[in-house]
Amino acid sequence: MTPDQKLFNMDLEDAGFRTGVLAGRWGLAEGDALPVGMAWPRACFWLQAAERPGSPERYYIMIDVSGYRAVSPTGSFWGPVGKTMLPKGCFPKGRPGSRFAQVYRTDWDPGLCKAFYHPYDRFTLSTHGDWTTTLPHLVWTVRHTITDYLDEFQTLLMGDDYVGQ
Amino acid sequence: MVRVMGIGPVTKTEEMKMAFDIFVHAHGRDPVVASVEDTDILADVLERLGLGGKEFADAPVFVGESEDVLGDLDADDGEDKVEAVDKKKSVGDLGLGNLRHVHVARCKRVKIEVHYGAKTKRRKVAPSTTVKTLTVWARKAFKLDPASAAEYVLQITGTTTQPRGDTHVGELTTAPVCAVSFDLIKEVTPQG
Repeated sequence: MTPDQKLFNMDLEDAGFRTGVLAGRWGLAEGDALPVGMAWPRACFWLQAAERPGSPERYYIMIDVSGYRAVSPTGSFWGPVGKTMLPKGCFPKGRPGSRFAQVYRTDWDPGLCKAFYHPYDRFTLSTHGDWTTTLPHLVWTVRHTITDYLDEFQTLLMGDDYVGQ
Repeated sequence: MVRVMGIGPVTKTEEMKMAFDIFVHAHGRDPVVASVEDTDILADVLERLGLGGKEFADAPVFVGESEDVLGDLDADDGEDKVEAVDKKKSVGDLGLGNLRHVHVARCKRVKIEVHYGAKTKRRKVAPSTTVKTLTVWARKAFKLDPASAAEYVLQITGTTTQPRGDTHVGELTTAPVCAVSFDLIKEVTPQG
């Protein structure tokens, strides 16, 4: 097991992550949501979402956590049935103009359906070098853990700006 | 819950000991997970975690995560009513099977100030109050427009630190200060 994988597994045992599991906020995706042969450095989680008519109770994310915690994860929503990245039309929708709508935007190339529009995402940050100075408090550091990542994106899904799928 | 021992004719029963996890918070250290059973004495559990020595003899201990503040939105300078528990009681008697969280405190109350523009709200809360609960309180106490309230977060005054929602406010301060000052700010939306 590589050092980044060991650290990741340790953080899945810490109080912050397990508090979220106990509260029903997030958890590791069950086996039938995963693609055949999925292996490190990929990790799949579900995130609880606020109740909205016709929308799922949970969204899934598939992230690449290589280099954890030295670098941040990168990834996006996952379709547990089709076992592919979630198509654009199935992304959770936010109130127009809201922070939610921006973070989960579906009109951004090259990151569309590949990476969240947020400094926590490794790929997105790599294409927005200015964020390290303009959004320093949102930039991943070695002190951040997978719990911080899940908390940030799950909190958005519970907010009033989330309007449904 | 009773477990039947043996196969065939029932010869013996005993109370099944069900272990479960609790989360122990204290200032200056990350929360830790402890596996406990209903019959465990909380003081013994804390001792095992290094929170039971003389240094902690008088430390008030709270169970659960206080939401008193949400029932008292209009009071200026209000104070929570939740009290510290007797740590000589058992985990079961303290209801930790449901409450799950224990906070070993340095402060019986934490004085909270939240600044929003030129206005300030104050409250004395139990140290087991989460930042998430305080955020909900602050948004309502300042009567933010519900359409945009979700984008407002608590940031420690004079810093860019926005503690995670599950942080107990008692983890952010210690005696003799026992106070935390926040600004209620609109979270930045990534652009560019």
